[in-house]
Amino acid sequence: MPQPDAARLASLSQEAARALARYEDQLGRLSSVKERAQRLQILLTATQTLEDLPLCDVLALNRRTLEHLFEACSDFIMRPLSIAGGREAALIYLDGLVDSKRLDDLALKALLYDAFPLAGSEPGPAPLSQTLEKRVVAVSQVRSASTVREVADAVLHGNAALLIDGEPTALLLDVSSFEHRSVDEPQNEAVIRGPREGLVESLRVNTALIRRRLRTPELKLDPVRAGHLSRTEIVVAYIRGIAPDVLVQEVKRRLTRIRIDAVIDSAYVEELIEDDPYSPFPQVLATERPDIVAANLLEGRVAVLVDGSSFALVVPITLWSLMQASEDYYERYFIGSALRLLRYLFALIALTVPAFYIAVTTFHHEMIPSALLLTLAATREGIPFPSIVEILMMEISFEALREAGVRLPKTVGAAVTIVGALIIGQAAVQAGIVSAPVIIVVALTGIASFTFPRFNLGIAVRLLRFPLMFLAGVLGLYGLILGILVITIHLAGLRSLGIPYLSPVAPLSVGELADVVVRPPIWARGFRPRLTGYPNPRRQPPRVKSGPESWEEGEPSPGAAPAEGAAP
Amino acid sequence: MMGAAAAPCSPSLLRRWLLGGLVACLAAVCAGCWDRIEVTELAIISGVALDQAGPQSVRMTVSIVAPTRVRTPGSGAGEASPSPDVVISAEGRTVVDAAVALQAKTGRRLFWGHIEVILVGEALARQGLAPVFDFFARHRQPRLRTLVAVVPGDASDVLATMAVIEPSTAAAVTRLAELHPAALITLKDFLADRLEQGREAVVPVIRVASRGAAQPGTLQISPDKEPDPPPSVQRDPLQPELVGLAVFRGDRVVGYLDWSESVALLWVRGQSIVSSVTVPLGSTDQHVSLTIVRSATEMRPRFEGDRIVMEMRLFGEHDLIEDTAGVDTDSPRVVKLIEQELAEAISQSVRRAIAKLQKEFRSDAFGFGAAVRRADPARWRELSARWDTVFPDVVVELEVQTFIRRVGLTSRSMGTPRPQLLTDDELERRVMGR
Repeated sequence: MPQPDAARLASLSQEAARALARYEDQLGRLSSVKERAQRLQILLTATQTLEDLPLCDVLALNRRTLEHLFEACSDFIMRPLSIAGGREAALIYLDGLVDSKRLDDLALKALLYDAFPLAGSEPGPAPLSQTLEKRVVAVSQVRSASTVREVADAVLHGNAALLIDGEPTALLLDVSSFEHRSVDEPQNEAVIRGPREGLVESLRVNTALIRRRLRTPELKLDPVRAGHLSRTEIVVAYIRGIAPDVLVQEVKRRLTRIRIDAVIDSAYVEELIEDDPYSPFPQVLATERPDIVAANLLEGRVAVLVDGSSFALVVPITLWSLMQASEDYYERYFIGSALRLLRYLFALIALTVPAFYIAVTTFHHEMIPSALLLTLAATREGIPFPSIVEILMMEISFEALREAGVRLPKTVGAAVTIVGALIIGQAAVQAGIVSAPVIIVVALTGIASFTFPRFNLGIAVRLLRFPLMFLAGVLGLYGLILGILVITIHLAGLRSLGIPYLSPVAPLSVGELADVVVRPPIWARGFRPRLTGYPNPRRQPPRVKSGPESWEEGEPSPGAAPAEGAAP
Repeated sequence: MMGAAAAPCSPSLLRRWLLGGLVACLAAVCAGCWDRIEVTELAIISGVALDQAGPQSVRMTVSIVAPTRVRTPGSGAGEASPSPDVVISAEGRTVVDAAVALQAKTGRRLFWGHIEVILVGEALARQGLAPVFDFFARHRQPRLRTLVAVVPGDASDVLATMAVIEPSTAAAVTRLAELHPAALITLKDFLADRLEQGREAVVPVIRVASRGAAQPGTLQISPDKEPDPPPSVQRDPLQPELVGLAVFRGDRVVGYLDWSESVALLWVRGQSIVSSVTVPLGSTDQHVSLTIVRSATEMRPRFEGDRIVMEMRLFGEHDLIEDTAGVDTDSPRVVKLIEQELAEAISQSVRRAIAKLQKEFRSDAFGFGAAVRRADPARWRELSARWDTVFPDVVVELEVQTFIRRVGLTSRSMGTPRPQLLTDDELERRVMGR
């Protein structure tokens, strides 16, 4: 806690004492002398508790309070003004958070020139701040505040606060503007076909990106604050009428429950609202794509947007929705379905193939076709390590290689990858340290682990294959099955915001299985997921399949239209 | 350190979890990988040959694939590497006894999971195979899909031959059998036949093909030219050859059938056949050849007092694949005649097989007993005890129906007409005249 020095304290206490004496009515609320003393105490000791003060109508006092609050903040700017016939005022803002051009043109100029002739000194029915708000300040968002906390908060969010002598309220002018990245294609979720807009670090831009996809007043963007130092603005986005109210309430409850000093990224929020903090599986979908957010909102899910993070969180999710790529819906559904099946196959490969290789080559030789066993035996001849050591070495090297490639600059990363691949792949085999089939297994699992459309799910699976490899090395296929059972049991018990992680498979819902196994055509997706979209189950009217006959029913066919137009 | 858990103070949840994790890890580590066997610690047996070594002893010969000698792609092929097989034999009182002796000669653990073929020498096969096959049916490693074959003479000779096309001799035998599905009789088939009442087992016969006579005439070295390098092509090497079927009574071999009889036998047994027959037309030396595309059998016993009459109907669909007589295969009349000739040829070989089995071997490999059992279980219960004496007197009423479905791509109507060696009328006269 910063300790103000004695001299400043003394002067502050003098002014405070004067103020308290002058405004007995305000202090009249303090019923006892003791309470009055407490207030004084608060005022004099703690910088943090300065915020708890109400504004008073002595500008000098308010200025002092805020100056102390923002002590040693080089971006804190207090601009003294004289407005409306000589009333003292001060404009307070943080440099860099406000658009100084707008501030100058719309607020400062207006206050200095336009407001000067106002007979502010005239005693009127309305205080000067109201007149200013209505007639002078050309800023669209204006609020008034009556506590130091509100003022400080607004200033920290890029507002400019106008304090006027003689009025216990401040005018908060929203001229916030700060540099943000332009909307461009998300690097980690690239698509071949589909929108190339990605979320950015600015909350307002993100909400706009989503609103532009769902232009309905039913799209609600509920604000929540979290982090007692960062005071991060969080928005809970949902479509009223589609997302269940209980779900929205639960999300908000969990967000308000967050007790943390600062929310740096939405990942902080993710960890603080998930159901099972010990699970390796992601229970929240983090995406940079506004189209994914919009599509999920339409399924009755809730999105959490965090200011300063380009990743939106979508809850609740299932394992299957993490296996779906947005591109599934942008390609024709045959291709989307085929890709989806391919992804499931490779998910299984990524999880089990190294363990399966270990189990089969060290315990169950009879399971390998004869010719393959001979080839395996021939390649393994002269390899000094047991299979499990061999695989572990290569898998760990591969993970290291991948990690090195991720962190390095792009140009160097490619070089590292090539060198690593050469050393690990070619040289290790030729030196007789590792057998060639192991390279194939490691490469296959490596490729397979990159087919996960969601990076965080891929990481979970990559991690889980190591315990499976140990189990397979100790207990063979029995161990592998044991491990898979444990994972399955864990998944079956896992919930995301109360929705079973494996639904609609584990609590079976036959009608919804189509969207799990394949990618149904758009015209066949009649219903929203039952567990999240039940308030408004139907997506679209039945029979929306296209085809020549659908033209004949209602509107005239496109071919007939010009003929009709030519008739009159 | 374990005392911490037993201490009276109740451990916190975290400590309990940690302890649980520790126990799990230690259990895994202590149990370790004790039964882990790397591929390189195995002696992979590809084929087994069993022979009679003495009055009470078995000689087991195994061919082990040496991985170091397996030619892998990319390991610099080109030079003819030696066969990867290593053939080792040992004797013992029983199969396992011999296997123990074999293990003593082998540095690596013998692995039975990839045996492709079990060859049994004739002498041992005539003694009975039940005690020999017990190990292969009981132990978990050998597969029931292993091919079984009888070798007239010494079975180990077959394993000792050099594989020419296939990587190992055992593989060569298997491919040979797979090519003739008739001969693809596995350990499981053999055991199933042994278990079925009223049907004896059959097993293919494999022997070492005799080396073709050295043919000096094929290599013509003219004195003017440089002497050509000796041909690197191996000509008529010693290799396994499939010759027919061995017929069992119980678990003992009682005799052999040649190929045409074997095909007939398998046809009657209802097993799928892939085979071609060459049939002389009208007792001339002009032939047509046909392949069997589809075959079916109907067998129904009829009881006339003590006599059992077996009504046997064989159906076959054929493709004509060769015609040396130049008959008019476009003509339905000629096709009908060929079908007749074919039916006659088939029924002849079936009758030959029946005669051999009934009179010579007294082995019901056709499954007449099984047909009786299915048709009249009560009568079978009464007959089964003395079936060996009843079987040779079963009367067979044979009817063979053959259909030629396709006559090939050429016909008399296209290309230059060939001299017709056998006119249609002549053919008809000869076929119908018999």
